[in-house]
Amino acid sequence: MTTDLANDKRTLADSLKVGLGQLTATSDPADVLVALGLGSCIGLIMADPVARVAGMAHVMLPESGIHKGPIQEGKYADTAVPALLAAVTRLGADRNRLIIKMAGGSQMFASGSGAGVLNIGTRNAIAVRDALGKAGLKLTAAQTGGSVGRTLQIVNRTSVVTVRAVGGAPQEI
Amino acid sequence: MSEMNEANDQTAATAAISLDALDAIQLDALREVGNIGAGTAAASLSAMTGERVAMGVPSVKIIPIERVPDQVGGDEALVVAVYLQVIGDAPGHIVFILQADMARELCDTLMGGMDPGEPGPTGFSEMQISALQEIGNIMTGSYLRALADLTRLHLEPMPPALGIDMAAALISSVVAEVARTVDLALIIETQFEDEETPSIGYFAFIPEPDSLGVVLKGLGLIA
Repeated sequence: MTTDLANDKRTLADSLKVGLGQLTATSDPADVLVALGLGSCIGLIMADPVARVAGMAHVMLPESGIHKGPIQEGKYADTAVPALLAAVTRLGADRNRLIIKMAGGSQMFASGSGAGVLNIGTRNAIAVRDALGKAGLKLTAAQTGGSVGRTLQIVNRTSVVTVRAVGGAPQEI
Repeated sequence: MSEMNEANDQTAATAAISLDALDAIQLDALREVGNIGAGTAAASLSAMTGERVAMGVPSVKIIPIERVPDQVGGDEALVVAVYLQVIGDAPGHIVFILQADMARELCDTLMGGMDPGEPGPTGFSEMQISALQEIGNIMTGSYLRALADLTRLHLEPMPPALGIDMAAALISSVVAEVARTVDLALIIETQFEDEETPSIGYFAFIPEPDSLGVVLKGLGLIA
């Protein structure tokens, strides 16, 4: 797979923002999916480079169990994994060809009131891994943990996935 | 072709008081809470810097919790955020956000031209970070005290936590904390401004759903 970031004329303005708790899938090769500023949240990508299908979920919380009322599937790790799989396969992705990558799960606040927030980032990453395991899917690459915010992006045309921290250049994962 | 799974706006929080049921008088009172809280904090900031800090008109918004980062804006912009968990009679969350440039100016003013030392990965030195932590403590502390005085409630701060990073990363982490139990957030927000800059900072108070009734009762708006 070749990295073609330099020749990609698209800017952030052209890309599809995947907001908190949202789940988006596309079969348009021109689409770029991006989750801006992931903190304790996880950006999860499933993509099929052959079928040119890419999907992204912006997971906020580990599990839907404690939640009352109707569920927004992208919001929780346990519901986002099967929902994202269904969304990309519906657009023609083959589950055996899927590349699965994630980023996020940070502890953004170091101390004090942040202690609870720390827990969510770590637990989100574990919950996504668990849910993938349950679905019989294997993670291809991940950049999680630490205390930095990250922006996660996939260019559907190339299936290139990049992660960028504040003030840094995008790095391919 | 793309498929969007949009935020579900219909889900209401299970609470003693439904956010949808707030009337104009109650919303006004909550706006006043933001006004007095942020006004007190702005006065503290002015006292620290010796410069006049003005406040915009506070607004009260009831929005799906997922939309909070969009409201604050900035996405990847570098900001300094102070997050304070409130415990006691009416648990909630206070977030104070400063634009990075403004934070740097504040540090300079407070440190009176002292060499701040080597900047770390966030662009702020250790000395600047502890100055910002102190500013955050004072700002959020005065906000909370005003809130407690106004409502005659017992409200206690957990130690404030400081984060310097992308705006969305910091806000969404606070939102995730709240979203465990809440679908709709009530935010009382106030912008700070000085003579040159229309928006230098931002204050938000997000009460836990069960706290809303307690706050309104404290304000004498429900029996």
